[in-house]
Formats: sequence, C-alpha cells, structure tokens
Amino acid sequence: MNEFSVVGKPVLKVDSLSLACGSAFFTADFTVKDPLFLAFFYSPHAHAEITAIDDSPARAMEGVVDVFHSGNTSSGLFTTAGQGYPEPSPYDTRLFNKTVRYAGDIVGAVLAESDKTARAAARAIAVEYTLLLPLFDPEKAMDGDVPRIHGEDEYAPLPVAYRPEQNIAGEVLFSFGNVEKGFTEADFIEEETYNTHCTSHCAMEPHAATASFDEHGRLVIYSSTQVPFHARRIVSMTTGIPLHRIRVVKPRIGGGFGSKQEVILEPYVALAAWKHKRNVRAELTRREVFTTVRTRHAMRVRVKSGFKKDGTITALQMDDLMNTGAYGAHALTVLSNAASKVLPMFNKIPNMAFTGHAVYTTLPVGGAYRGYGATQGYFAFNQHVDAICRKVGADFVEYVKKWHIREGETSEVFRAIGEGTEGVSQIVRSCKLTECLDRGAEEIRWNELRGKRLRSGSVVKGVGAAVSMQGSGIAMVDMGSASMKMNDDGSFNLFAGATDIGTGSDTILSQIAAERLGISVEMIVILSSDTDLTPFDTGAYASSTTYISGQAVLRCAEKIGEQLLSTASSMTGAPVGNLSIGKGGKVINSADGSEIPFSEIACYSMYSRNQFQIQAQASFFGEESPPPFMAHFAEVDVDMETGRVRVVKFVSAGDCGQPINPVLALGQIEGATLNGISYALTEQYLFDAKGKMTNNSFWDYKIYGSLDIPEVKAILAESSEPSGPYGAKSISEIGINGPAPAIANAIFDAVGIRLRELPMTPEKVLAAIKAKAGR
Amino acid sequence: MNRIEWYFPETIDEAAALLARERTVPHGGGTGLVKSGLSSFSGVVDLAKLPLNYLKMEKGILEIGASQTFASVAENLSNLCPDCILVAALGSAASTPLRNRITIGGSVSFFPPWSDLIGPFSVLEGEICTEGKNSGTYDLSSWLANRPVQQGTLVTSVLLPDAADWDSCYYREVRVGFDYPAFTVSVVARKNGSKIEKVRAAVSGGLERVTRLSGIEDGLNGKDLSQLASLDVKKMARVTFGRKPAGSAEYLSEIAAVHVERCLKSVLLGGGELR
Amino acid sequence: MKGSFIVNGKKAEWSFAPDAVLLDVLRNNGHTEVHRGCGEGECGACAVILEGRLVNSCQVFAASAAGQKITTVAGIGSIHSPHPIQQAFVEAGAIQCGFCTPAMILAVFCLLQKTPNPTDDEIRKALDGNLCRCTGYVKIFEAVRLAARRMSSNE
Ligand SMILES: Cc1cc2nc3c(=O)[nH]c(=O)nc-3n(C[C@H](O)[C@H](O)[C@H](O)COP(=O)(O)OP(=O)(O)OC[C@H]3O[C@@H](n4cnc5c(N)ncnc54)[C@H](O)[C@@H]3O)c2cc1C
Ligand code: FES
Ligand code: FES
Repeated sequence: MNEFSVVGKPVLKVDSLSLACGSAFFTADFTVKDPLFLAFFYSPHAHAEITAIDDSPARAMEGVVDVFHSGNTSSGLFTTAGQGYPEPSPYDTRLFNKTVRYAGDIVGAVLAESDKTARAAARAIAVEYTLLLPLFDPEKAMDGDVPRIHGEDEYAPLPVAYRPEQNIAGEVLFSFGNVEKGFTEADFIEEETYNTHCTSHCAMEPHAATASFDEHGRLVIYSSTQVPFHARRIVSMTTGIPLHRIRVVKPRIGGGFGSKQEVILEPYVALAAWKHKRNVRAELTRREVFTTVRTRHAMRVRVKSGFKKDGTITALQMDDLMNTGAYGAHALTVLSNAASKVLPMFNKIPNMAFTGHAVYTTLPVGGAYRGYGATQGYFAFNQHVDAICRKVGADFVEYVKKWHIREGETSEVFRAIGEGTEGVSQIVRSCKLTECLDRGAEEIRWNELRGKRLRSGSVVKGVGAAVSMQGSGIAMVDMGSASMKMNDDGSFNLFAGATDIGTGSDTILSQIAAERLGISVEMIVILSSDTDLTPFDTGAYASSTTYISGQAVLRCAEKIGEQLLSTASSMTGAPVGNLSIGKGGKVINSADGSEIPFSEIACYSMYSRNQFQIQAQASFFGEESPPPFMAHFAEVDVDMETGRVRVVKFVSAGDCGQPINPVLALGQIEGATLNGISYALTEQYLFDAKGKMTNNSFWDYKIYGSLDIPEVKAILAESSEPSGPYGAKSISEIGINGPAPAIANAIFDAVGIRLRELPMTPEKVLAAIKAKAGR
Repeated sequence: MNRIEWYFPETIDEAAALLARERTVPHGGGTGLVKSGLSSFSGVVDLAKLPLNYLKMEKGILEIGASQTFASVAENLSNLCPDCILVAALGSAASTPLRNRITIGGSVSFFPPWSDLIGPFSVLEGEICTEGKNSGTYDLSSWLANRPVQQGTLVTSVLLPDAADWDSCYYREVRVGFDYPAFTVSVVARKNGSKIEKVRAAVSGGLERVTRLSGIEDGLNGKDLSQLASLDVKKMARVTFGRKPAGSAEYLSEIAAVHVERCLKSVLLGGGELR
Repeated sequence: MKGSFIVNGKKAEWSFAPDAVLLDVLRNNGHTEVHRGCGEGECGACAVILEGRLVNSCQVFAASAAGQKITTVAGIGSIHSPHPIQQAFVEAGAIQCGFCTPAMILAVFCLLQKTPNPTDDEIRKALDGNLCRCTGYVKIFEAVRLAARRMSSNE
C-alpha cells in the first residue's frame, strides 16, 4: 500500500472553522441592496385545471410589485431535475402549469417589497379551479380507467420509454438467462412484496435563492444548489436569459442529500429579477420544503426467486412500481438504480429479470435522495435474502460472503442497465465486502446474539444484517473539471466545479492536490462551484465528487507537477529526468540532492525569464462506476406489548476504497446511518383524503435527534480502487441503504415477524406481532 | 396593520389593570403566542417583571410562580424534592431551549392536549391561583370546564398542596426524544411497608384532556401491594383516544393502558419502567 | 417599535415590528450566524443564549427580549480567536454542512457552563432541541467530550 502524507489523514475540514464561528455565509445570509421578495402560492387540490386567476387583490396591496402565474407568464416544458443534458427525466412541467397535479404544486408567485407582504399577498389571490379526478394509488396508475396526469405535449428529451398516456413516466426492462426455466429448477420459491414510502431529505437549510446584478447588468444567482452548472443551464432555458448573462454562485450549503439537485427556486428569482431589474430573494419555509420540494420516491418492490436446498439461487425476478408523484423528476434513473445498484450484488444468479415502472400520481414529486433507488431496492433484497437463508438454514453473513460479487468479477446487470438506458460493462476491481461482513459481525456480536431472542420483560432482542453497494459517479455521463494556478509563495489556487454541500469535498479535493504536490492542505486555496470562476462539473450527486472530481483534480495537479519540474529544469539546467517533487513544497534533484523550493520556482516562472504562470486545467469523466460496498448490522430491542422497536446498536462497515479523509468518510457513514434509521422507523408523509400532506413540519414529521441515536459504529475496510484517485471510491450515499432492511431482519430475528412496509412504526409492529400470535 | 402595544408591568395590580382592557393578553414564554400570532390583539402584557418567578415549598405545600419556566421548575425541584413527578415531567417536555421559555402560567392557561404539566397537576391535585378578573383559586376540573374564567385573568401561581414524599412514575409517549407526547401517564403513590396508603394515576392526551383512573385508585388505596396483581389494570386503564399522527385511537388507548400498568408496577413494586 | 439589546457584549438599538421574533430581528441586523431551519421551534438552528439560557430565537418575541443580553456563536469566539468548543467541533469532525453548528455550539456552551464534565446522557439531553441531519451526532458528542476535557483541564 502507498504511503501517503495527506491522503488518508484526518485533515481538518477546510471550511469548518468558519462554520463553527458563524462567519461562513449560506445563501440566505447574503445582503443584497434593496431586495424584492418572492413568495409562492400553491394548489390546494391534488388535481385541477386552473380556470381563472384573479391577482387584483394582491396587486392592490401596498408593496406588491408583480404577480406571476400561468395567466401572464409562459415557459417551455422542462424538468427540475439537475442532471446531465439532455436529461433522462421527462420534460413535463412548466414554471407555471395550467393544470395543477398535487396539493402543493406551484400556481404562481408574488413579488413584493417585503417577505411579509409577498406572503400576505400570495394568500389574497383568488384562483378558480375545475377539479379533476385525483390519482393516489400507484397500483392503479397504469389501468385504463384512471385519470391521465399528463397531456400530449410532455416528452422525454432522450430516446427512452415515456408513455404519459398510460401515466408511465419511466420504464426499465431487462432480463438475461431464462427466469422461468430457473424457477422450475428450484427446490423452493420465495415471493414477497415490499413497500417503501416517500420521505423528506430534511436538509437543515431550507431552499433559498437570491438573484442580483453585477456592475455589468449580468444576473448573479446565489443558490442553495447541488448543481450550479445545471441550474445556470435550466434558468437560461426556462427564462430565455442568455446563459452568458448568468452567473450562479454556490455559497455554503446547509445539506442537500439530493433535495438541492432539483432546480426549484432559481428560475423564478431569475425571471422576477430580470423583468424588474431589481434584486430578488426567495426563501422557502420548512413547510414549503416538505410539500413542494422533492421526496424519496415511494416504491413497491416484488421479488421472486427460486433456489435450491443448498441456497443456490436459480432465478430471480424483480418487479418495481415506483410512484414518481406529479412530475417525473429522476423517475427513470431512480427506478434504474433500484435494479442496477442492487442486482449485481449476487452476480452468480444465472437467470434474472427486472421490470420497473415509474408512474405518475397526484401526490408530491419524487426526486433524488441519497441512496437513489438503491435504498428502496435493498429494503426488499436484504429481507428476501434473509428469508432464503432462514428457509435453507444458512447464516446470512456466511451466505452473502459466499454469493456476493468479488474482485475480478462482473455482473450482467452492469451492462444491461445504466441510467435509464443500457449500462456500461465493468469489472469490479476492489471489493472488501467479505471483510466488512466479518468485522461488522464481530462488532455487533452476531454469533452471540443471532437467534437467541434474549428477553427482558416484554422486550426481546434480535440482530439483523444487510449488505449494499452503490456507484461512484455515472459511467460515461458525469464529468468534473478543475484548474490550478501557482502563487509566489508556492501555494496554489484550486478551482473546482465540484459542489461541496457539507460533504467535505472542498477538503478532499484539496487533499488530493496537496498529496500530488507534496505540500500541506494549507498551501491549497480552494474555490468551488461558481459558474464564472470555476470550470464545469456536473454537480454533487450520484456519489461522484470524490471519484470523478477527485480524478480531475489529480490530473490537474499532475500537470502542475510536470510544469514544476520543467521550470525547475530550466532554472537549474538539471535534466527533468533527475528532478522529482519532494515533500514540503520543493523539487529535488536526485543527482546532487539539492532542493528547489516551490516559491523560487513560482517566482522564477512569473518574474525571471520567458515569464508564464504555472497553471493547468483538467477534466475527467468516468468510464466506469466502481461500487463501494457496505455491510450493515442492527441490534434491536422489540417491545412485544407496545410494538416499539429500539435500535440499540448499529454497525456500518464500508469499503470506499482508499478513504481520502477517514474522519469525513466515517462522518458520511454515521450521518447516512442515522438518516436511514429514522427513515426506517419514524419518518413518513401523512395525507388527508384529498391528497394534502397533513404533517408538513417537524412537529409531526419526526426525525432522529440527539436523544434517539443508538450506539453507532462506523468501520472502514480499506481497499484500493485502481481507477479512483489514490484508490478512492464513493462513500456518502451508501450508508443509507442498510438500516431499514437490517432493522427489519433484526425484528424478524427477535420476534419472527416480517415487516414489509415502511416505516416500521410501533403500531404496525404490534399489529404484526398480534397477527402472528393469533395465527 | 393593527397596532400592538407591549407593556411591562412590575406589579400584579398594574398587570391586572392592563389585562382588563380589550384585546389584551398576557405573555409568559411566548411559545404559544408565537404560534397563534398577535394579530387579534392590541396589547401584550409581558409578565417577566412581575414577582412571579419563584418556587417555594412551605409545610409540604409547593407553590410555583407563573413565570417559572419548565426548566427552572425541574431544576429548582431537583434540589428541593427530587422525586417529585414534576421533575421528570417538566424536565423532559419539548426540548432544552423550549423548556427555557415555556412558563407555568402560559401552560396552565393553554393546557394543550400535549401538555406535560396536566397529568402531574392532576395527580398532585393542584390548584390554580389567579388575580384580576375572576381572581381566586381553581381546581383543575373547574378551570378546564370554564374557559371564560381564563379570559382577562392572570394566573399568578399554582399550588400543589401535597407535593412531597410521593413515589412517582411519569411516562410520555413520543415518537422520537424531542416530540410532544401523544399521551402521558402519571402515577404517584405512598406506601407503608407492603400497604398502599394512597395511589393516584392519570392519563392525558385522550379525548378528555386528562383522565383520573379512579377505578384503579379505588381498587388499590389502602390495600396490600399484592392487590395490584389481581386487578385487570390493562382493562381498567382504558382511556378513549382520537386518532393522532402517532397512531390510531385504538392503538393509543391500548398502549396507554400498558404504560399505566408499567408505571403502577414501577411505583408500587419498584420494577424499573421499561422504555 | 424600538428596543435596545446587548448583543455579544455590544449595545444595539434596533427597530422592529411588535410581533417580530428575535430571529428575524437578529438576521435583519446582520447576525446571519443565527440560522432559520424551521421557524417553529422544532430544529434549534436559531438558538441563541438569552440572559444565560439557550432559547430558540424564532420562539421569542423581540419585544420581550428588549434590554436583555443575547449571545450568538460570534460572541463566544471568532475565526481569529476561536473558543475551545468551536475548536473542538473542528477537530472532532463534528461539522459537515455546518448549518446546525452555531446553535449546537451554543447549546454545548450552556451545558459546559453548568456541567463542566457532562455524562453522555447529559450531553444528549443538552442537545435535544438541536437537530443535525448530517453528522448522526457521533462526532458532535465526541466534540463535546473533547471540549469538556480541554476546558476543565485548561489544556
Ligand atoms: C415546538 C414546541 C414543542 C412543545 N412541546 C411541548 C411538550 O412536549 N410538552 C409541553 O407541555 N409543552 C410543549 N410545548 C409548549 C406548549 O405548546 C405551549 O407553547 C406552552 O405551554 C405555552 O407556554 P408559554 O409560557 O410559552 O405561554 P405563552 O405563549 O406566553 O402564552 C400561551 C397562552 O397563555 C396565556 N398566558 C401566558 N401566561 C399567562 C398567565 N400567567 N396567566 C394567564 N394567561 C397566561 C397567553 O396569553 C396565551 O394565550 C411546546 C411548544 C412548542 C413551540
Ligand atoms: S428556526 Fe427556530 S427552532 Fe427551527
Ligand atoms: S452539520 Fe449539517 S445539519 Fe448538522
């Protein structure tokens, strides 16, 4: 293994002191001169045609500047999903739709001198609707006699299956081998249906955007975005403002988890600012974030497998029905990932078939959310595997160790399916899942607790496990770039398109550059994600930043390194071949051991002869997407009398290749784990009969806090990914895939009930316990 | 916009006079008023400068001034009377920064369905002391039954005539640690050897704000501890609920009874309450 | 209406609406280190220290805080001279997006003032009103223990 000096070290997060001291700025913290405020008004109905909008009461209010809605503002069709262009998501929405498709759909926006006035005026607008039939049940969405949510105009900009006439927003089908034949070869068939629910990201910072103007009259948008470059493109596309007249700046971001991969506010503030040539601010309330921003897609997953007495799976069939809600943001790709990130896990299954449909309903819109479909798929997959193990008398850990994909192996699935279209074949070149399983099992005391049903009063203990994989960027799609320039003192400015949303990518990218140049992180001054100043990057999603943007930075630093050597060579006359980069900011001449400090090289290049600046740029796109792996273990106490499940301990052991920064990597696992536990047990959207969310605040949408967290143990099983920067793969999404199935499996271990529907609330658990006792 | 005037009286009389005005409300911690908004008021009387921020125990009578916050009650009592059920109840309500604001006066006036005060108040058979309009002393049921007495009335303190020397158990049904309770269970008891001298139990959060479980109390008062086993507590503790986000009416009713039984066992038999 | 406050040791005279909450008044007057995560008392991102007590500034009418001492995270240390708690958060890796951090640090400040060597349960309880979606609290708890050790031994 390589000896690193910066990589693999717990370097302090470069932005953390400013965050701790409150000097860092989030989007809503910028003061712009004399701003106007934008407030939205929303559909109270799940499905309706707007027949008239009377905005005169609002316009008559003092301080109201303008009102925007479908009656006065048109835009083309687009998707709010911030993805590669053209997007795999359908173009099925406009800034202001004439048909509203869920309670919470944006109807219009009021621009006023104060936030208070804008919000008061938004309430004063009278909208007339003709009600249309709602559609809440995704299972019925493809039937012939249900309302059709989208019309003739909507289209998919990529050649993918899109059939709005059947309410189908996305379809994924593939198979290999012969599943039916496989089933006939089996000794047992196991078939069950699992349901996952929609949930909110709950990034602590609500979405905000501010549009202002620079001295040349160009539009400068500060936005809480994960995708500044996509945001710029989408703003231009929806508003007609020329792209070169727009600059998007990403300040510090208060968490995203996918919710800010969605371009929601930017077009509206841009539109209003451009029209009135005034600065415009918009900041959503938490309630608006719940109802109008995106959710994790709810998914029904049916899994059927045939297997032999020894556990060999002869065929596996998965059928997913995903509820994308009113619009198809990320519909196709989340659906794809429910298969492509799940099914390669057992790559020795000879016969496999997957059918997936993403359907429209008149409910809140699904979108990108940490785990991105894999979370949903693994909830079913891991319980299914647990059921197989119990049927054939195998131990889950040993069983998975026997069948999981290994280094040097591939899976048909990689080729069969990518992001909605065909995938990219790849061979797994790093996989320490077996080690993850062993270390995790030891930490959770698997052998001591499994199947023991230790009892204390009405409380029974159980342990459960799950495994998962994710990807590192989207192969052949994601691209990141970086540039660097050298300063007089031997420090470097690093400009990266990559978007740090709290994940620590500014730190990791600085570490990668510092490692390559043998200097400390302090000598790297990073500036990221400003569409004017930094090169392009697709954004913070798809677990891409460390792998994709990291490679871009590494390549860039390599070029800088070459220039350092060639400049040192012309300075000293020593042949380049004798020169190498040493530690601590110097070039070393191996012939005589002499050292040339970076600062001298910098000054030579800039001030002495044939003056030039040492600078470079590089891009990287991934030709493959090496999966990180993780084993997840839960120890739970189930109260037989109340149905309450308490997670006592949770262990997540992951292989993310070489962790660039172990503290940040562990932090990603811990955060994802807690989010996953909360997702499994308490978080849920509650709707009334008309499809309106009734719990759109933290008052009744409960997420885990300091009192709730169990003992969480995150473990890194290091590997080295040959295609990654310094051997790194991704880490930030995968941790969320395990808690729900591991907890479900632990509940089964404790009390013998299978919870196939999320969230596993005490009431559901108790009902299942009673149903079993009654049987 | 409607003009709102803030007042900061320093005496009870001054405050009472201000509250006699139209559309004028007292302000305790503000956590209820921020939510409801001030738009229907023209005057707000802040109580912080009144001499109501005290907690004292005299001859077994606990008196808590209306301006005491949940946090200060829990803190003060944990020295004075650490086993008091109010320590557990008010010390676990809402969250730290909220407990630092929520006052006894505001909570008595508001007594929300999620109140952490009402159950303990019921089992300790507290009284509400008021000044100004309708000045006097009210027990819980007359206070709750008569909303209008609260209008324009200043709650000055609560009296808990017999607050000390109880064994107690408090349970709040929450989905996560920081949550308002879907229901609460309060049990206090005094034992003498194996004899139950007195036991009181209440469930809050059901259709009635708070329900005293008098059947259980009657069945146990003056009896031997062994009597507990012969009562069908789970049946006797059934309280009617409405549906809540935390669960269906049936579920809440069922598990509230489970927790009543556990609290009774914990208090009477010393078994730790299982979470 | 007008009111004066002592914010981070400095006197400030601000005007605000009678129904304005302290959070808005602070933010409108440049104290953007106080964050809004929900505006309903549920997330704790807006917490400040008011007369020695941690409160959610979104649940406090500015009028009711007039004349009082307010401490935000900028009042306990700065980027040039951080407080040991701020330093501990950095070193323990307790900061991801950092949106919850200023209020979280103030909660810890209040805890350690009263309880210099808190137990794990005391730490959990002191942070029960401060939601963090990023970290899973593991490293936040570590930071509190680290800060407590350093502050009590004057390391
Ligand atoms: C997010 C959140 C969570 C909460 N969770 C809980 C919980 O778990 N458990 C719990 O018990 N409570 C909880 N509460 C508190 C509860 O909902 C009320 O807000 C609180 O009890 C009101 O007290 P206050 O002192 O803040 O009252 P204020 O807001 O000041 O006043 C509330 C009402 O009482 C009146 N009032 C105030 N003081 C007096 C007085 N001395 N005399 C007469 N009338 C008066 C006011 O005019 C107003 O009508 C929570 C509050 C919030 C915001
Ligand atoms: S903003 Fe005040 S508690 Fe969330
Ligand atoms: S660090 Fe992001 S919410 Fe705590």
